[in-house]
Amino acid sequence: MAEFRRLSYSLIKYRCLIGLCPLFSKTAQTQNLTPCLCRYKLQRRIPSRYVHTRSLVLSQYMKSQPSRDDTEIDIVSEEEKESRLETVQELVDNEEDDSALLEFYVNKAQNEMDYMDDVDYHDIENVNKRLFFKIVDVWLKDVGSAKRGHRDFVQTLLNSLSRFDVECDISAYVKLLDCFPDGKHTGLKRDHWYWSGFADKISDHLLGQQLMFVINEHGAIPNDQLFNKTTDLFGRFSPVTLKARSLLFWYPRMVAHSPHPISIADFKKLTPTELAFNGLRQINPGVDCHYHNFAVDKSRCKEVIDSDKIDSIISCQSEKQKEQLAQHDLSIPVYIEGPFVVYYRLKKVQYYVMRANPSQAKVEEPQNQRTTIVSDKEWWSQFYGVDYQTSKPYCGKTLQFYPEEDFFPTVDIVDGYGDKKSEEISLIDSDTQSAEGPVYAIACTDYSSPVALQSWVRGLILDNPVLREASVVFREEQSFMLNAPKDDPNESDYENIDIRDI
Amino acid sequence: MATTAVGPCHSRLTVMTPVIRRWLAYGGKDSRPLLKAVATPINCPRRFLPKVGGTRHQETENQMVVQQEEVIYRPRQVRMDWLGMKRSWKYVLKTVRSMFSSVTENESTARLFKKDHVMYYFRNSEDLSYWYVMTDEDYGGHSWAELRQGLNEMTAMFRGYLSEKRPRDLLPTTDPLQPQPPYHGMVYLETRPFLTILDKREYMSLTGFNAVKLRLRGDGRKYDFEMVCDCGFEKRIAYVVPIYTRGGPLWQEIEIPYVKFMAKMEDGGYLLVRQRGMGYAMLENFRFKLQDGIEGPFQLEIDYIALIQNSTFPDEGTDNKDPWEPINATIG
Repeated sequence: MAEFRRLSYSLIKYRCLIGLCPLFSKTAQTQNLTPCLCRYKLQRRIPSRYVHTRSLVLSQYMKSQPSRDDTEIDIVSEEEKESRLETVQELVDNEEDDSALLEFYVNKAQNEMDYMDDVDYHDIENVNKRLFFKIVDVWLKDVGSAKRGHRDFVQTLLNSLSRFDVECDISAYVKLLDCFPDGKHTGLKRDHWYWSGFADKISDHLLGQQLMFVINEHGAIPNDQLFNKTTDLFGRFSPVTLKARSLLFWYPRMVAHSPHPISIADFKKLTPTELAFNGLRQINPGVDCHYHNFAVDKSRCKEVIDSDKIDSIISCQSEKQKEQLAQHDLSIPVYIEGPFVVYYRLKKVQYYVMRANPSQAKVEEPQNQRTTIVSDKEWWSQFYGVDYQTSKPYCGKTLQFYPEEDFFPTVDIVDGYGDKKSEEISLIDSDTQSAEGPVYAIACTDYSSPVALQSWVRGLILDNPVLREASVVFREEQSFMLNAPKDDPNESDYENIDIRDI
Repeated sequence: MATTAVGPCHSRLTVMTPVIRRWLAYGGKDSRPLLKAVATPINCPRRFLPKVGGTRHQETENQMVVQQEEVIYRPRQVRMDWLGMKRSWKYVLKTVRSMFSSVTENESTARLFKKDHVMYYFRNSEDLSYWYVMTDEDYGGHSWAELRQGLNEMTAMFRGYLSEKRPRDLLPTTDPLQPQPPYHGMVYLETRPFLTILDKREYMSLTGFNAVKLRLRGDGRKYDFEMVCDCGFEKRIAYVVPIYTRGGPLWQEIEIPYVKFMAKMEDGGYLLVRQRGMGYAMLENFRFKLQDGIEGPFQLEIDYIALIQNSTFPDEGTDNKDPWEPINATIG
């Protein structure tokens, strides 16, 4: 009786392998089956007790149980069986399994960190990043060439990339591709344009697609290594390679639309002054701009600023703005408006603008006076008959070096076919100038007191002596960006309307 | 001393988002009274009775208080669409006049004699009625936006607050291995469709020009400038270009050749594998969309949108043509 029970238990345990037995399967009699082609039988539905998704946790659990020899009779009551299954099912259904798996490997990797890691990952300074790569190496060593349970492992790491500061690093995603089982008989590769449509292992390809999606979301820069590895793993005709190819194709084209592109990885390393400089370069474009960093007297300032914020005042002024400021009318004050806010990538930068009012900026020419030119550059060159800079003689009275050539006809190069076309943009282009005055300079600082602005003006006086005599007035603005409400202020207008009435 | 800038915002025109009622599940209030029969004892003091404003109480012989329903004033259901007929008659006259007018008077042919053509500009407050605003509030989001005239009364200001707070419908998955489903707040400003005779949909024409020119002043954020093409059979393709605004007090002029627009499905977020030339004949509208994933306020001032002819820009481009397209397009 006991032997019969033992046989029945072993049959139940290994019923997945019944297909191999020629006595119990018809297909085995008709075809010459080898173990490799029997995969359909092996992949039949298996109860959750034997599912390999939690293989590691289960194996740990099973190891903790005392081992029983086959000679012993297992008289196990049904209640004990159910309780054992319940505990296993709880582990399977419990949401803490991901963290348990991750914590297990984090602790293991931390214990196994040795001097060889300094050699392998010598270019990585961040300890958390090194830990990430070490975790993957430890798992690969534990698991073996079959790489069982790779989907869970890759998914848990994908969900916890920010913990290791590795989300912007493409080498981490390339390393994750090492966790997939690689070989001829995995059934993963899709290399034929037609037969790939009938292929299996869809969950692996879906996981690969999710990996590409995460790369795009976090802003990591794709490289050829990523694409080559995906083709070697998943094949040419898989949606994973398509996504990797589209990442490689579109990333430089999207970046080309921005004037000063910067990756998120480099953006996170920026200091506050570098952030202010880049923000000013975005606001005030121009190759010939002058940038200065003026120190602020902190003892006189009322507020105390953190180390993350901009302590000093960084100013930016272009050549054209300098010339406009030099022509400023001294009877009218120069206004400093602020504080305003601009977004630079993910962070906000606070800035102040030095400008004049619009109607007072225009210099009105007196109309009743009669003016005559006494001497001019052209007059002198006509007087001497020689060019001032090159000392070349002119030909005749005209300011030309060579005589007119009548052999070749003169052609006026005009855009189009010489038709007179009407322009509309030039009619409306200059409307806003009448409402807004010229900008003289822009500065960035996180201080809100006028002490910082005083140091800015003091610093600009060297290049712009007009500021010594003109009066500078600080006009505090209430900008929408600093005081924007989170709820719609216009909602009260249609509170009483009901959609059923319409 | 705080003084105002150039001038306060005198003309305040707010174009409202489409009416969205807060359903009771969201904790909203239904202010309309319902017909209820309330039986009260004789000795119950009046102050404990349910109060409804403006109702008429009828005390019957049985001391039952019945609250009458208030008269609900609904807008009149118009049978003849007179306004629509007026609009259609305007276009009928226009087409008839164009048959007997010269080449320069007709709008479509006058384009051939123009160097630039300004399509939208906001010098009057009535010009704002050609645009409307949509937010993610329609599917449970929490961002808001408005369109009003700018401070200098010559531009349009599109501003609001973009929130990344997830809607209540978008629950996290029960599977512990799956991460939270992706969601980003979205806000866009779109032109109204062109409707002519009997509300027939007309499309924009980009013929005669090479590029789109925009003059705007943003806040440093990345906006998507889109042109939506109606391909029929409820298939809509959007031609997108990202605009990285500089922000600041200075105006920004952007020239975008037609060739640089990237095709994507309007419903999906991915660019199409098959990139072909833009469908000029069926372009419906312009759209400024914000979906960059940064929570915070936004502000975009638009001066004008024009079409220009620039001979340095190419007419047929190879920027978005992928040599791997024949292979990639056949993959399922």
